[in-house]
Amino acid sequence: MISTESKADLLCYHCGDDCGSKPIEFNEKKFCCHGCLSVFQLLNSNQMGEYYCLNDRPGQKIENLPKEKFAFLEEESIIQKLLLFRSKEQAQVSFYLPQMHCSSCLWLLEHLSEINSNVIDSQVNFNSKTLKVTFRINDMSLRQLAELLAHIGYEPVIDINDEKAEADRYNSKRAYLKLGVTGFCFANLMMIAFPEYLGLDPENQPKLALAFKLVSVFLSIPVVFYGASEFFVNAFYSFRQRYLNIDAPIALAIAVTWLRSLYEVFSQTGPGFFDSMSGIVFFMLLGRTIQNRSRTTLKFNRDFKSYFPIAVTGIRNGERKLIKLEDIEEHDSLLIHHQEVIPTDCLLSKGTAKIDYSFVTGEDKVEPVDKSKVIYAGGRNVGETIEVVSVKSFNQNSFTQLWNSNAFRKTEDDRESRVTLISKYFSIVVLLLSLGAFVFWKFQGNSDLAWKSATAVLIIACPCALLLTASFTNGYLMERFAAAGVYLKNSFVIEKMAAVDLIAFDKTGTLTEPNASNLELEFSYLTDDELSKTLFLASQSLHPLSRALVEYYFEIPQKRFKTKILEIPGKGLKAVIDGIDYRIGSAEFTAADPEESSGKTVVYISVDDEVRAKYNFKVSLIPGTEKLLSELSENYELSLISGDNKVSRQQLGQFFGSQEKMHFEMNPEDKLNYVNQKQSEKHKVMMIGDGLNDAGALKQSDVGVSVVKSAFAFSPSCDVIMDVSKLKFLPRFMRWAKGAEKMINIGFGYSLIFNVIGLAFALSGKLSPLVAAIIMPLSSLGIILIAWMGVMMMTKSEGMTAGRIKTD
Amino acid sequence: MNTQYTAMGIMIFLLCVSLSVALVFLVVFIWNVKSGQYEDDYSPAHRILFEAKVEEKKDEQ
Repeated sequence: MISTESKADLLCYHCGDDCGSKPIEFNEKKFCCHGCLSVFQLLNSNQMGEYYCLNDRPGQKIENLPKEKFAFLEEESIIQKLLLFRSKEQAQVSFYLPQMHCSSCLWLLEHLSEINSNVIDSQVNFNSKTLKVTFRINDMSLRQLAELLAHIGYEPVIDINDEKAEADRYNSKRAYLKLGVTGFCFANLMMIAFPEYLGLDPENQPKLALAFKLVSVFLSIPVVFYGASEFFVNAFYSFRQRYLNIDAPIALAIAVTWLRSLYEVFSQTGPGFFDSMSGIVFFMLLGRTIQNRSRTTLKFNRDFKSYFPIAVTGIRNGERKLIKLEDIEEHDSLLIHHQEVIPTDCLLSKGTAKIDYSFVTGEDKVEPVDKSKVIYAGGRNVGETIEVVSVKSFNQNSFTQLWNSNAFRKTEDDRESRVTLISKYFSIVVLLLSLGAFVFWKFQGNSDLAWKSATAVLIIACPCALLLTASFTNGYLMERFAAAGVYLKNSFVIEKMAAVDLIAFDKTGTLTEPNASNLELEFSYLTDDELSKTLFLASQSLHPLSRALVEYYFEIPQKRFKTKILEIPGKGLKAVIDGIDYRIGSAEFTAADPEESSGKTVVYISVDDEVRAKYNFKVSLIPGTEKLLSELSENYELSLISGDNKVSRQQLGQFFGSQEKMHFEMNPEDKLNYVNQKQSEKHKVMMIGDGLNDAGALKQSDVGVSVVKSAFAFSPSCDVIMDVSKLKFLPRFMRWAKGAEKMINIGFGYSLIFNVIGLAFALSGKLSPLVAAIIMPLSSLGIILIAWMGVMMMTKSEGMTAGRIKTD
Repeated sequence: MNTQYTAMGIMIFLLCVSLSVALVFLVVFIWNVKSGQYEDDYSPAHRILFEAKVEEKKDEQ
């Protein structure tokens, strides 16, 4: 058994990954790769060992950076857009570095000048994960700065299409300001109200009482017109959309309370309800702020453009230059380097291409492309640098079409939220009660009491409690989700999650490891000569199993043979070479024993009717997937919609119940249609996927979950972003969402008790400000406590650490 | 009668003073929020714990 001490020894000193069997040793420390070692050496040589003192293993593993990755930063127009400030000698830029996660990162990034003296100053904003760098523009280019950062593990994520981010950040300032002003007024109003409750007699000291009342009126104005303004605005907005959300009755309650209080003060019949009103407004604002506050810089509404590079190298008029994505025209010659994304549909003109379409189509293989074959936008070049000629401009390629679908034009409002529904009924009941009270007392001949009780009903029976419990419960739960590594777009998603009854999975990258070697050799008696002949056979076929076989033996040099190959779909390949019959395929086709391999996907090779080799095709599931699927199948209907071929059908069938629930070879539009169809069957669909081929389905589904390996890479428009390693906890997350619903009901029930008591006072016309001032804060505080404790108890679980989403 | 009047005057005076002091804090709060102090609540706490090594290094060399 390995003791914990020696296990820690095997972790990389820099990034904490497992060093495996061959750790690289230096200075008595172990590293998992040369990348980590190089960063360590760089820091060491600049006496920056402090980085490692502040936290254990704080580094990031860096991928091999393609040399041209930041080439586009030499383009003047892009530089203009990115620089915040520029003088003759200095410039300032702000980079988004989502990899920063601890104080070591903070330390290192703010000591950047010690690595490169051309950096004058650097300041981190940890909440937004940005770094502002001031540097000498004449001695270090923007590109070199970006490369420096990438070198130490903080590769900037640059998106010049990002105008929405600014708007979001501004709102939190506004929210704090509102909260501050409202809180100030609320506290002082309560303070001023005390004398009245504790015995200040307005008849004996009229001037004093009047002074207090006037100050109350004065303090209430900012509360109503500034603090509560969003309730009025939201109510009006929903009214225009022809439905009433929860802000409507709240706005009504605030208005009635304020007006009646003003009337009381100026007619000298009472002190008014300013303190209760401002208290309610303050608590509701607090709830909203907690609910809307987002600790994450993840972007949920990524446009597909973020997937593509900002500019590509092109050849125009014989010279190389950088062409921005939008400027690519038909017939442009482009150079696509290793690991770069193809920006538009094009024809291969130079080089041999190997294109990885997995993110786009979900197909688990790399496709070699011949000259003059079309390469589609969105694929990634994983071979050598190639030269291509574009056949379409960027905006017209096959890719953009998907994003023009209606799914992406949906706008969301809270029309269907449970809270909105409940508040509708609530409002009706309250209005009826108010009317009833008015009529009753009028009949009794007491006109004064009629007005008093009618307005009192509207004051005390505010659905504020409903809003409070919803916002606090959701707010806390969102934070717990984030701590567990699950990021939700907004709190409405929690409700939608609780309503889901069908979960659709993508296959590659979600359930199975992408690009894993899938064939497992069971036995082989082939001679080298026979093997190279069968490999030649396999290489001529496009069948995924043939391709897998070729990939398995990629080290063996390929030889060509002159022969005619016959491919029989569903059975296999055969050919006669030098008089000997070679066959690759299923058991029956190759004269193997069919019993042996029933239920499994197997490839046999036979030479002259003699079975010589057997390979098992394995679906490499991401660990935890089996348990996940079996747990989920108890409460949800599961289905698989994959862009990949049906080779894995056998293995996966056992998890999905029946094979009808699995759909393969689905292109992006098929997936979208599937979700649509299920929704028309009244299902609430949750779609889980990771690629662009899932984009339409993710957006159309009720809850779209994007599973990522690296959160800074592109993830298509979705409601939830989670690390793929956290997917196995999905049943627990679904339970949390359902629990939130229960919690909100409990909180609401609790406040209903107070509402009923308050209504008793109100209907009898005896609602004094003192009573209101006791009931309303009590119910509000109680709700907040219930929400907090409830969520804490529900989400307390062992072993769920907020792993940082890694960059590999 | 005289004492009542004085007591009331003092009360109003106290009220004004208390409100003014609170108002000062409110203004400071607004100033804080506007100048972006609450945009980053992680870094300032950790920054103060960093050692200022620059002087030391220069001395060592």
